[in-house]
Amino acid sequence: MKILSLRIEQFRKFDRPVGIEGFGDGLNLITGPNETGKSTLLLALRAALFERHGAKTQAVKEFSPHHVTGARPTVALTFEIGGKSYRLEKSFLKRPAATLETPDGQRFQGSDAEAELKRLLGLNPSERTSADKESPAHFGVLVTPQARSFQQPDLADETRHSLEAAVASDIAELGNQSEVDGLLAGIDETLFDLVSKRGEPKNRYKDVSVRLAAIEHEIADARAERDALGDQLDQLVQAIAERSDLQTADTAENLPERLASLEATHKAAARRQALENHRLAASQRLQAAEAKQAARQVRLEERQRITAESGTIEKTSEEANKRLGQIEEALSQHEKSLADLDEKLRVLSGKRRDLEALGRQLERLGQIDATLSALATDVRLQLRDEALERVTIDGEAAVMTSDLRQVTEGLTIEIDGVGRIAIEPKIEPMREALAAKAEAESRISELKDRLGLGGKEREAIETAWEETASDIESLESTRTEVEAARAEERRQAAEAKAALDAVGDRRTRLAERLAEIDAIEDDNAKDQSALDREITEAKAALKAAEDALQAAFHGDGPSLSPPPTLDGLDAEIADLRARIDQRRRAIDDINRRVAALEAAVAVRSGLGLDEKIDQLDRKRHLLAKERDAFALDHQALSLLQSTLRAAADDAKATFNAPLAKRLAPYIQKLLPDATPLVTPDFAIRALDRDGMEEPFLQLSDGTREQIAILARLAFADMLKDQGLPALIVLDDALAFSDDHRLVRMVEILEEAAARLQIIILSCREDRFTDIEATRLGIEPAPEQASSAA
Amino acid sequence: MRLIHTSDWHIGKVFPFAGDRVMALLQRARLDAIATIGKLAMAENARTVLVAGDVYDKPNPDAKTLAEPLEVMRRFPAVAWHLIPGNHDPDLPNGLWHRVLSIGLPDNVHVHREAAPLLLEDRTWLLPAPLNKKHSLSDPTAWMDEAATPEGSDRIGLAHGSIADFGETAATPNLIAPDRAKKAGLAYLALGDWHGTKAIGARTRYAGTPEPDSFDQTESGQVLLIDLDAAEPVITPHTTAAYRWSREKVTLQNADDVRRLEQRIRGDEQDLSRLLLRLDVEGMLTLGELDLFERLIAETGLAAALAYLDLDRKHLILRSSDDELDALTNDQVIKDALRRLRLIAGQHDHPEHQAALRAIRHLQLACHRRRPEAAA
Repeated sequence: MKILSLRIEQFRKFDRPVGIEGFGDGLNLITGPNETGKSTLLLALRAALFERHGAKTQAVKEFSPHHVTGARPTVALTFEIGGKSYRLEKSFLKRPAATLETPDGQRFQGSDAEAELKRLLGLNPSERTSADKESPAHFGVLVTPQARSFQQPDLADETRHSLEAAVASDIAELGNQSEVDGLLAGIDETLFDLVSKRGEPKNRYKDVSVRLAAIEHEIADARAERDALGDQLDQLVQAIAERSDLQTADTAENLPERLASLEATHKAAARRQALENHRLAASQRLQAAEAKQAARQVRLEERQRITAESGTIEKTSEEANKRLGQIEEALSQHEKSLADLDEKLRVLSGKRRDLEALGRQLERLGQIDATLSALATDVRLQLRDEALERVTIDGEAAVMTSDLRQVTEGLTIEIDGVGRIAIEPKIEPMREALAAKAEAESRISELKDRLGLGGKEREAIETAWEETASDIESLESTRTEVEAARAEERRQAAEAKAALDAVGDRRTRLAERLAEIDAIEDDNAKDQSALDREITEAKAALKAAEDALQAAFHGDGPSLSPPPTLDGLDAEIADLRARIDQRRRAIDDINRRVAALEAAVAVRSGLGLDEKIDQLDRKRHLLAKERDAFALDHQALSLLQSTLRAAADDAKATFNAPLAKRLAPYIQKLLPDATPLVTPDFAIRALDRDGMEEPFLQLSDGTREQIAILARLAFADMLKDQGLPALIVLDDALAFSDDHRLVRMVEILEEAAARLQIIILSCREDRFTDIEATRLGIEPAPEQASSAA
Repeated sequence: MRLIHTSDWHIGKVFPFAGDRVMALLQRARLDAIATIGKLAMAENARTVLVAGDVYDKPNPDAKTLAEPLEVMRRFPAVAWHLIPGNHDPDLPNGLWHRVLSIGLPDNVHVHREAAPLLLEDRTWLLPAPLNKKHSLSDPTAWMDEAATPEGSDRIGLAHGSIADFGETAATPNLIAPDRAKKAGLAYLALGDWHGTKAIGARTRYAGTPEPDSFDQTESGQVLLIDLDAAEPVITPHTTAAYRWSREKVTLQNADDVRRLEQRIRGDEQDLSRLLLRLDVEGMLTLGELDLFERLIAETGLAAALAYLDLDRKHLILRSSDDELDALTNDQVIKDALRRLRLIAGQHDHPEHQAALRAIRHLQLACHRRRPEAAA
């Protein structure tokens, strides 16, 4: 197939008509900066070839220029197939139309035109095509939109089928892919109900598997129970045997009989012990009573003694009292006479003191007089007798004719008919002496008055003093005697009092003791009779106890070996009892074990374990059968699935061999060491480089783009070989290739261009400067009325 | 004296292959056999029934299982039933017979747990040899030689075990001397353990089980009526079986073989619902013939009519036929897949042999459904 010219109008960015004329064989290069409309050209080409003119899809609506309403996007195309020229024109949206003019002058309109076009392109007439699908048909894959050129050709099912159909001409009969797919879908569906993605059972299959597992658990449990029952039965047999052994041992040892004998011995010993205790008690009782009696006797004697002593004490006391009275009487006399004596002595002493004071005053007076006379003014009077009468001296009539007067104080001499003469000494010491003399005279006078010595003079006074002194001496002597007597009497009185006190104390003590005794012996007579009775009874009890002992153990007498002690017997009995208890406990223990085991065995037997296990086994068997059927289903379906797939894959492998065959030389040219690995779905899975697989998606963008172009070349070759039209349009291709690769690719493209028309759209003219190609540009086209038909 | 000799009732036996319904029928049949024996005893005026062990199938049955046979025997008060423990139901301490006695025996049922002679009637003495172990290497009847009974008594032995020269090795448990009847001066020795009826000399018999329980046992399903009044015992077998168990091996090569097999089995048996059949099939059939086999025998037809059909078809393989394939589909891929599957299905030792057969059936069915004429 070869494009000759293309004209578009009211299509996307071209609201004015543009066109490209003069497409040549081989390579055609349309270059121009971005936004010049290269991609729109491609879209228009696809629209003309693959889009139904009547379609109203969003993709078709987008054919209209943005600012034009009621647009009628129109594409006109002239091309050659098999060396014959055709003209195709399609208008979309407003008054959609399609016209195909064939070289033989035929002119198809509308859907007839579409059908004829499909026939020409080798498409299935019933197959719906669309320009917006990535790959409307095998043909479309060769006409690649921008930015997809480095993807592998993306094959929709129908394309694949077309391709398969196309390449299978040498295969006798092609499998009906849709029938196999239908079968596989059915199997998938059945498998989906049966198992999960990971192949694990689902639904009823799972249910059966789960129940099977559960029942296997149940069987294991039931078997464990049955084993437990077996164990318990064994234990039971063993326990019964043990019990029987124990009972045999029990009978053989005859412990209870031995215990009974020991207990009898123990009883006798205990009785003897009791009787002896009894006797001992009676004897002690008697001893106590007798002791009590003795004590009582002692007390009674003591009371008698106390009574006797009490009498003596009374007498002694009386005498002592009497004597004390006497002593006190005498003492009192002596006290009185002493008082008298003291009084007398006091009086005499006063008298003597007065006398001595008088004496001293007299002495002093004498001294004063001497002093006075020494000092006094002597007045000598010589009176005549007749004058005596008329002269008064100090008021006193003068008696003596010659008189010498020592004037100390003054002297008044009055002479009748003459007057008075006053002599007044003016000497100071005389005045003091005069005062002292007056005091002494006053004192003497006072003392004399008191002593009644009126006029008595010195001698009298001395006598009086001597008498007094003598009296005092005598009295003092008497007093000394009396005092001595009194002291003696006082001592005696103290003695007598002490004696009396001692008697009193003794009497008090005796009285207390007597009170004690009386307190003890309160109920004297009754007590005595009770005590007598007690002694009698105690004696009787002792006798009885001795008799009883004698009677009970008469035969024993003093045994050769000492009788077993109660303690010893107790220990022996305790030991025996412990042994009996131990055996009893052991038997009880075994009885309990036997009972428990019997109960457990009864319970477990009641479960019918053997039958239960058989029933469970049966169920397991049935479930296993069911499970096996599911498993077989699973296995069968999986086998069917894998077999069908393998068969289908093998068929495809046969089919896609031509693709691989045609692709290989291209790849070899580009990458000399690589072989393409093609999947049954016609995709290039990987490159094989010396046995190393390199997945397609891991290749570089440039390599992927190059391989994608090579794949298209191979497809195109294949189609061409089948006599189908082929055309390659590359939009912005080889953008990612390095210079080296670009050279190779250009070589390859040039070579392919010898067989195919290849249209390259590029914004990079510089990349293709050296290429031999028909260089084309988008040119405005003259307005042209589209055919109204 | 007339008596009935039976054994190996195996009450409570569980058949692992049986579904619940068949299971219930088979267990019921074993109990019904006791009633059949009771009726026979009444009809034949044999008032003594000797049951030579294995009354129960397992040493530890369910309580109901334990009581049920006692209740059937109770229904025949005029018949005295003499039971001994066998190797399946040995008299273990606190075991099954302890439980039976604690339930309470009907007056007409006697369980013999001691190996000691006891008077049955007049001058007839029963010498029972109960087993109190599952396995004992000594002859349980040995004591009968020395067992004292009054002069001129009839001595009847009752025991359970194998006969020493059945071909078993010396290690086989509970071995009974074949000439025990003679050595012990027995008028008759009633034996149990063997499930088929079997004669061991003139005075010794295995009665076999009254209700068959195995595909491999012949001569079972009867009891023996023993008349001891003559010089030699007169022994008459009576059928008691409710179900017949049968095993067959057939070769199928074509559709006629399939049809003939079906017809024969239907013709042989009046009541197919009383037949348990184990069918081992071998041969090669085409897909169409296999369909016929499924329809007449394996899935519907006989399978539905029989009490139980146990089919072993491991050796039944698919015969390839290209015509059949062509009829199935035109699709080359499917045909190729079928060819591959047939290859596997044709080798019965292939691990996926069964899966391949099923896969073919599935594919066949799927293609059949997809054919346009199938919808019409």
